[in-house]
Amino acid sequence: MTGEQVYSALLRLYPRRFRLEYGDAMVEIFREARRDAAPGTFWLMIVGDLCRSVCQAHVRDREPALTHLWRCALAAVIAHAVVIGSVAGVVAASGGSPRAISEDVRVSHVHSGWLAVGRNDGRDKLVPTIAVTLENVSDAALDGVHLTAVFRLVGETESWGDAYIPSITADSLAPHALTMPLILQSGLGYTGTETWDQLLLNSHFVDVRVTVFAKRGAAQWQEIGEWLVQRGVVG
Amino acid sequence: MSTVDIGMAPTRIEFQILLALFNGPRHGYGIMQDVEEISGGEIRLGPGTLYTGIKRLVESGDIEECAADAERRRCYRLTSLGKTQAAEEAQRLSALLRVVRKRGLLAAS
Repeated sequence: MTGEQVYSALLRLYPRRFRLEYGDAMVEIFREARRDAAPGTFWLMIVGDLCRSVCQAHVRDREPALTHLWRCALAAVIAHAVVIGSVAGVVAASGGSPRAISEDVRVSHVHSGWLAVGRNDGRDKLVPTIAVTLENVSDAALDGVHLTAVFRLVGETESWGDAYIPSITADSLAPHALTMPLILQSGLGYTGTETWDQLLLNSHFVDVRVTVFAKRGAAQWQEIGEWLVQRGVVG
Repeated sequence: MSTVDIGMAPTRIEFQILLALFNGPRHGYGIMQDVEEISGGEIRLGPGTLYTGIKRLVESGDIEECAADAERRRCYRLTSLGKTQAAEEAQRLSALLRVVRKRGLLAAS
C-alpha cells in the first residue's frame, strides 16, 4: 500500500460531505507536499493535521453533541495509530531501516579498570569504570549522540549498575574528529578494609563485563561494544 | 470608529489564508506555501487544516472558487467581503499591537 493510498483511506475519517467536496484536492496537495518535503517531517505534519482537522471538520459539519465529540476523539486516535503503522509499513516496504549507529561513530580507544571512589563506612570502595573515545566516522558534523553502559558480573545476566551520558560532546563533533574520553562508571562496587590491590586479588572478587550502547536522538539504543573491565586500579 | 464582530472574526489560520490570497488567486498548494512563507515557517498547513479553513471561508463568503489553473487545480480568490474582513482583522491586530507596545511587552520599534 503506498503512502497516497493510506492517506486516501484515512480521508474516510472526515465527514462524508467534506470528503466529497475536498477529498480529491486534499490528495493532490498530499502528493505535492510529499514531493517537496523530507519523509520524516512530512508524516509528522500529516499526523498532526489529521488529528486536528478531523475533529474540526466533524464539529463544523453539525452541532456538537457529547457522543459526537467522543467519535471525534476516537477518529483522531485511529488516525494517529493508522498513520504511524502505515509509515512503519511504507518504510519497511521500501527497504528502509533505521540508520546504524556504526555509520556515525566507532570506538577508537577503550580504557577500563577499577576506580577508587572514596571510603564507604570507613572502607575503600572500588567501582568498575570504562573510558571510551569515539570517532565521528560520518562525513557530517555529529550531535545528539547519547551513550549508556550496563555493567554485569561475569556469569550473571542481571545489571550490576549502569551509567548514562546525555551527549558525547558539548557542541557538535566534526567529521573524523575524536571525542574526549567518555567515562562511564557503575554505582556498585566492592568495599573492604584491605588495600586496593588486595581487594582486586580477593578470592570472592568477580570480574565485571560492560556493554556500551549509543543512539542518536530518539532512535533505538544500539550496542557499540562489550568489554571485560581490566582488573587494575585507575585514576 | 469601525467595530469588528468578534464572533465573525477569522481564526489565526483563516487570516493567514486571507492574507495569502490578498495579492491574487491561488490554488491550495500555493496557499500552503505562501502561509509557510508569511509565517516565517512557523505555520505549516496540512491538507485537512487548509480545507477546513477554506470551507469555512467559502461558507462565510470571504473567498470564492475561481477557474481552475492550467493543471486543473482548484483555485480560490478573495471576495470584496473577504478583503474587508482581512483589512478589519489587520486593523484589530494593529490596535492590539499598539497596546502590547504601550504596556512594554514588546519594545517599540
